[in-house]
Amino acid sequence: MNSIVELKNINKKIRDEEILKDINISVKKGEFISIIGPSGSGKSSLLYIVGLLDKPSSGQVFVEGEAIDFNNPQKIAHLRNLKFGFIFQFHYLISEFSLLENVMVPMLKAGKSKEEAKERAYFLLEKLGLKGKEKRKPFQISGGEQQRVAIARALTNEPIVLIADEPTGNLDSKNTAIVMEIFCKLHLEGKTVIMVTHEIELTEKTERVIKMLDGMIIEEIELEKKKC
Amino acid sequence: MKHIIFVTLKLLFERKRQTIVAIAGVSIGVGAFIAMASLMNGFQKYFIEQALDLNAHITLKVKDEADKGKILKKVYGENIHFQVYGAKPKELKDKIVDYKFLIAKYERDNQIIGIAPHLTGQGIVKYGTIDKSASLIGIDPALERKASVIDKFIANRKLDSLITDRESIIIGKLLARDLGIDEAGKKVIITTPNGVTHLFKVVDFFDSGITMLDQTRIYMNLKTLQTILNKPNEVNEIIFKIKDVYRANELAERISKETGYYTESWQKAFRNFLQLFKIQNYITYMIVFAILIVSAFGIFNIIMMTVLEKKRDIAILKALGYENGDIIKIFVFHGITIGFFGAIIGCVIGYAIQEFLASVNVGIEGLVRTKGFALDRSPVYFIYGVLFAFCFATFASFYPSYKASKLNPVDIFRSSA
Repeated sequence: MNSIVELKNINKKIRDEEILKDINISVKKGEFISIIGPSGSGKSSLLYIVGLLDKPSSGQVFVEGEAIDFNNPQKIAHLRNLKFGFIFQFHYLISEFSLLENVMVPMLKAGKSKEEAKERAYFLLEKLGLKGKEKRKPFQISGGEQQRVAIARALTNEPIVLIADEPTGNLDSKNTAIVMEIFCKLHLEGKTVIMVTHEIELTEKTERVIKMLDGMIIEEIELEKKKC
Repeated sequence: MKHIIFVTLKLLFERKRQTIVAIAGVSIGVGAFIAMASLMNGFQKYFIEQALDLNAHITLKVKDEADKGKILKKVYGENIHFQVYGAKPKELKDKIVDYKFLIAKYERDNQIIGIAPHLTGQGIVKYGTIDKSASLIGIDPALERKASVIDKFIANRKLDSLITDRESIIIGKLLARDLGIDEAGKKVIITTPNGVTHLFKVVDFFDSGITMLDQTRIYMNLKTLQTILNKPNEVNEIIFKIKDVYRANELAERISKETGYYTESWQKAFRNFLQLFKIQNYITYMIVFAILIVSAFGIFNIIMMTVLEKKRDIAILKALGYENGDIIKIFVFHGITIGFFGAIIGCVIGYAIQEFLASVNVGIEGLVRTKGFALDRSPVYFIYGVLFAFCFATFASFYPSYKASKLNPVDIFRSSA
């Protein structure tokens, strides 16, 4: 199977401190990968480079086989909009916007009409169990629901990879289970998911676990498939 | 572009309080600009119009011969430096002897509409026990009509009485008031500097609206004034009314060269006032500029605060694919929208203030005398107001927008993790 995202010899330095050292990862379509490691091991930094939010100090990133030119910010922004869906520990929903509008934001950037964006936003919110709450503001719903809206927003432009940076870090066990179930469903639908987590038990749902320490990948474990 | 408009309008409408404050700032600035500009320029235009109506576009006078060193220069030459002390005043020879010839000559000039002779002098006017000093102006009513719009300022339009009754005068309205004359038909005594005393009948009142003139002027027949001043067939001024008032300087110079007499354009005659207006305009525009700068700072602060408060939202927008240019556009559009609504509301405020000022009925008696405010309600001030608001709003929003576009989303995500 061809890689949809590939990192070759990635190094990242911030103020003389090497936070990623010679990272090589290949992400195949439909994979569910988890990245684990202690705080400061470089998990999030790696994820930001995978999602083209940050540029490496050296090394190359390939998306669907094409080498990324980090000196072309417009192209990078375009790829982020269409190819990647981001979910963070904090939901980062815009407080002034309704849930529906929050979900519409990436689609409008992608050039979809308002009606088209609205229709898809309704569909995704319903799919994630938020039907009837579309007009509410983020502060009017629970933390678990906020994270589900963030997942809906990440899915809007049918990205090739969902990038989740500790998506359950702020959630209680019940909502953690709900979010993981959603990731599992998406994975089963063929979506590629890369998730950074602290919680070892969550990695059991994934197919591949990448362990990091001090900016390096120290171990890659292939798990039994279809645990979702 | 729709994603820019969508995000901007949502931010504007959902942050109502800040948006209203910013719009109010711009509106007040624009409204104040329109009101002040129309008030100041209205007053100045009114004054200039009145002055142009009342005074000659060009006045021809006898050259001032009071050069106290003339004889010394003749004797010792031009290169010596001297100062004359204690020179005794002597009567100036200020008559224009060839005035009839000059009038006939310039009546044919196609740049000149009207030309009229004046004899001016000083006198004391007495009514009952009250006496006042006055400027006596002897005119030829028929020629005067062509060279000025004097009829406009004669309360009961009885200028022709000066022809039919040579013992009649038209007296300034404020001078009449000061003397206690409240109706036509009253008799006054005028005494001239050469000691002649003459009885005149007040037939009408001169009401120009310019205090300085209404308080001093007395019009009478030219022949009568020549008689009482003992200056038969003399005049000391010729006034010209010209087609293009803004070419008065140029034409005055030409007439001076051709006749050898001193000429004075209306701009020169009113240079003190015109200079004063210039200073007044500088002050007005500085105040308005300060108001607009404060409004611009209001917009700057509000957008800067929005950028600082919305750092995480800017970061997520970038993560979702919004480019730096999109972020700049969102916040500049934010400023422009504030500027647009501020300008529209400012125009309404400006119009309302104009309406209010126009309706105020106050007796103003100063440099000019009006019953209300003289306003210049030109649409140009509205256009300028809108343009200023737009420019200031765009300018004020650009820096915060640029700062917003330079935010690194990774730094924001790291700091809020």
